[in-house]
Amino acid sequence: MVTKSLTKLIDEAIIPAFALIVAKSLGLFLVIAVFKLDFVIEQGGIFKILPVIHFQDPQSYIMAENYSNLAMLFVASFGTIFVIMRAHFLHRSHIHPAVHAKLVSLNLESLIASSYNLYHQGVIWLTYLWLVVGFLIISSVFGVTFPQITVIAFIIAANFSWIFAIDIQREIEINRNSV
Amino acid sequence: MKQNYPLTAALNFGAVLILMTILTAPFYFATSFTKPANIAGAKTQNPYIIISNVANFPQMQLTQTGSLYTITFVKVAQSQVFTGVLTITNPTKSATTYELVSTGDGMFFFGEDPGNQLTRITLPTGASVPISLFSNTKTYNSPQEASLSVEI
Repeated sequence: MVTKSLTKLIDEAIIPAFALIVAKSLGLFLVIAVFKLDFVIEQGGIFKILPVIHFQDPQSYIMAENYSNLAMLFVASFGTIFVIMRAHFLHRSHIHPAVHAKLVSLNLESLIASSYNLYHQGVIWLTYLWLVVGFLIISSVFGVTFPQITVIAFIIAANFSWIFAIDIQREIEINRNSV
Repeated sequence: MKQNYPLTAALNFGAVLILMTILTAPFYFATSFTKPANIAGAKTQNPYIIISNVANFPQMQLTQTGSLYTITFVKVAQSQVFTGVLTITNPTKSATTYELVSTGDGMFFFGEDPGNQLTRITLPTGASVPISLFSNTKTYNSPQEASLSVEI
């Protein structure tokens, strides 16, 4: 009924979404703790249920936003590079025989992933990474996030997309040769 | 099994909606979880934000006592305009009318056109406008003071 790919994408999207929310929260609490920022917690912000943190001055708000956005960018980049590395080195379709043999001997064969899993994960993580870039661009336009962070995020996302595309290209060539 | 196309379409549409919700949820959380108190908090919300640009002018200083802003300046001629010494922003969620009340050796006005010295203006939400200072007192080459308060 529901397309298999859509179900897989939904399945793969849950953990990254959770990771980004945790990164934003942890980044926020860390910056509050380290810089001892003044804040007030008020109820009824998100969906009228979850609390909202109100900062006492704009500088504190900007500092907290920048560091917590950096934490989100770090998690999105880390997740993406992890999938890309797996796609390059632990991809079932083109894993190096020596690496494969070593993983089998270490009983770590589960690290080897199929194209189906890797590409769904890659699409999700890259989507999140580009959404982070979009979020940072909007935040920079409103003068909250420093533009330097946005530029770095854009460079990271563009390069990761390019590396991922190389792997897809290699996969297409493998499939074309095998036909 | 016979394919039920309307049901398949509806289920896939629902699945896309779920996927979009999951994808956007972290960003909705990121934008809603923090707010600056002077803009969003009801407790300390100000009806306006004044930003100083006096650092761009030599021998100019800004002091603030409560809601009274005093600028100390030195003119080089009897009649002089300092454009954009301050910027006022409307952080409220509705359009607000502001009126400048000047005292001392100069007169403040909205904008940067000395030929059109507006002292009353309505700003849409989130909008900013520069405030300029015009002085026509006989004294110059010595420090003078002009004070400003904003009335709503």
